Amino acid sequence: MSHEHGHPPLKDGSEPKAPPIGPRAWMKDPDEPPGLWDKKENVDRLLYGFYAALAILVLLDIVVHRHHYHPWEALFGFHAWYGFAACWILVVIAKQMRRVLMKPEDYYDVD
Amino acid sequence: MWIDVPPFVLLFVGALLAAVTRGNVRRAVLLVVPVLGGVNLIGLQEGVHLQWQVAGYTLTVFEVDRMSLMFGYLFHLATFIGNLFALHLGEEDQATIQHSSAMLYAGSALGAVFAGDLVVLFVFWELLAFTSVFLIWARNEEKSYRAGFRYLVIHVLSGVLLLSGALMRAHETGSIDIEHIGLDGSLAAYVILLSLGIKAAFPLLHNWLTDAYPEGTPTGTVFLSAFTTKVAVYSLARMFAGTDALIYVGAIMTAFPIFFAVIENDLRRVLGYSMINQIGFMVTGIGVGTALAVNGAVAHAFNDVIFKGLLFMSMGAVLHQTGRINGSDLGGLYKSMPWTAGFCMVGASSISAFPLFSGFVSKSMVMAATIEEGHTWVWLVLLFAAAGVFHHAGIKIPFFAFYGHDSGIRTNEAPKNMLIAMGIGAALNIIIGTFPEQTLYRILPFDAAYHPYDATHILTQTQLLFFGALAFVGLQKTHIYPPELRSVNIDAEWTYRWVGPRVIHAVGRVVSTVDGAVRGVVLGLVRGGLALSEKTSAERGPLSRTWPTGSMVLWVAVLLGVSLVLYL
Repeated sequence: MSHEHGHPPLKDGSEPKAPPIGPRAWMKDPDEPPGLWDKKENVDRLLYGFYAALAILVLLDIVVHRHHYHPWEALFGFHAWYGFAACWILVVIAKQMRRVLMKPEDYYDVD
Repeated sequence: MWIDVPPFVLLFVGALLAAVTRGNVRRAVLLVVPVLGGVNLIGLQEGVHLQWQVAGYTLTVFEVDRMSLMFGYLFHLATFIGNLFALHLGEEDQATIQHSSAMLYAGSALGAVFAGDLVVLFVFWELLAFTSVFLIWARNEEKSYRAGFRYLVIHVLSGVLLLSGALMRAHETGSIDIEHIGLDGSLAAYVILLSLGIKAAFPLLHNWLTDAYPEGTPTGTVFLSAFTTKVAVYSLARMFAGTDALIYVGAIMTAFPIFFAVIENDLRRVLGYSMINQIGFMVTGIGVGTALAVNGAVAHAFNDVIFKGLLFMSMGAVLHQTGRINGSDLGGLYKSMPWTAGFCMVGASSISAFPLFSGFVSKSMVMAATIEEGHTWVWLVLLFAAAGVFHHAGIKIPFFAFYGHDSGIRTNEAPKNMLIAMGIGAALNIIIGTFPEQTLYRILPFDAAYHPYDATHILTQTQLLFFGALAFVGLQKTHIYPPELRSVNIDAEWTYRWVGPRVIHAVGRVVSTVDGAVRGVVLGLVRGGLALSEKTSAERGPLSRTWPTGSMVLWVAVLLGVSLVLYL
């Protein structure tokens, strides 16, 4: 389906447009200096910190003696892989749902 | 202490004052009335405070216990924060209508939670719909008018069902008290549950919420998110605690909306779906029905009003400042609205239930109660949904609005009143999340010890969330993550917004065709008859001819002659 990456075209075949910005907003000055997260090194630093935190959380699983209600919970790093798998599956399925569910913005508009 | 004024009365008076005052006087009314209302609740004794005799019936208008008191405090708090957030409204925003209807709406919610019987509840149930719809219509757009009408029709239907159920129950049991009903096999119980289910956004009955809330005004939707569904949760907890079916209904509610939330473009609609997900946890807790579970359900309702309100406020601020709300058209706003972005992150952390944030101390009560009662599969669904909520509400909302791809839109930080309102919401989330024993847990309705902060719980929840975030990072880096697209996704509303009108048209066409054919045949017959009568009755037709009197006399003579011959 063409829906995969582009906005689904409106009933008259045109591309849907973003609404105009409100009276309190404006477009950025082309000379504006890059912001904090426009710099790749800052994003990388954040991600490295994040990966380090992940590693610590897995290691803590060895150290902390967890109590559990369900036998699966006793598995090593259960909540870690469950959380990862849940989110991955959620997004992959939701993306496929678009094939059936996604319609143009004016789908319900009265002709 | 003064006399016990029913809480709704104060807010209705406040609504009237807000309608007739302007400027700083009105601003004072908007802030002082909810505070006075909250003070009015302090020290209230449990029991019946006001009854009216109407046509021989006793209506209990004002009854207090721990659960209603908790919701009473909550609704005053939400009114105060909401009014503060809306304080900047000018005449171009239809400020008078918005302020007054918000106060009437809040008053109706208070009337509902302090109602002592089903008839009084019904009155406030309908008022909730009629007062809140103006917060949608005040947006002043064609789409909002239509969404508002759909919202109104569905809620009026819910009210009619409630009254029908109440009357059936009165007929069967002789009681209209608000008490435990449960699914006892009577039709009345099912009708009442259906009514509550519409307002609580049960699966397939949920679409009014995601249809109408995103069409409200930037400030109005903050009120909408606070009251209607929480009144429904409160009523469910009162009447249907321990009903097994609710465990599964709630589990479905936690899981299905998050798929829609991932692919939805309108960020306030994403929050609508996430709201159904959160109500799912409450409904499951009510279904489990133990003291811990119901405490968890109502504690989560309390927190949801605050963190979902905070998220709706941050998105309202974005819409107010930029005129846009779709994920596809935003991004990079942390540069222009750093405070709003920060408050949004606090709301996101709270709904995701990070340790030290409010969701952590209430959602886990429901989860713990569910597994303690042996509902393992339900628990796994809830755990899936708990990871998923972080994904769509915790990451997606802040990421696409404030970070992500820079849309190039620049604006100013939100008005001060909005910032202060969001700041109060954010502070409450952290205070409740960090000191639950000293705050929220003290006003819970039942005695059930629960300690959220132990090493296992902190570690497992953090693992769940961080590795959920890792999935987001991975999906973004591999470009598997679906882009935000200008589109709508069909949902249950498809049946009444697309199929319904087409069925009606098709039926109309069949009816008009059959009607046309029948008319054609009948017309043909009539025409034939007319032609025949014309033929026979026209001038010189056999029936219109004149006959000479002489021939008549002749024929009479002939007949007489014949009869003479025959009979003589």
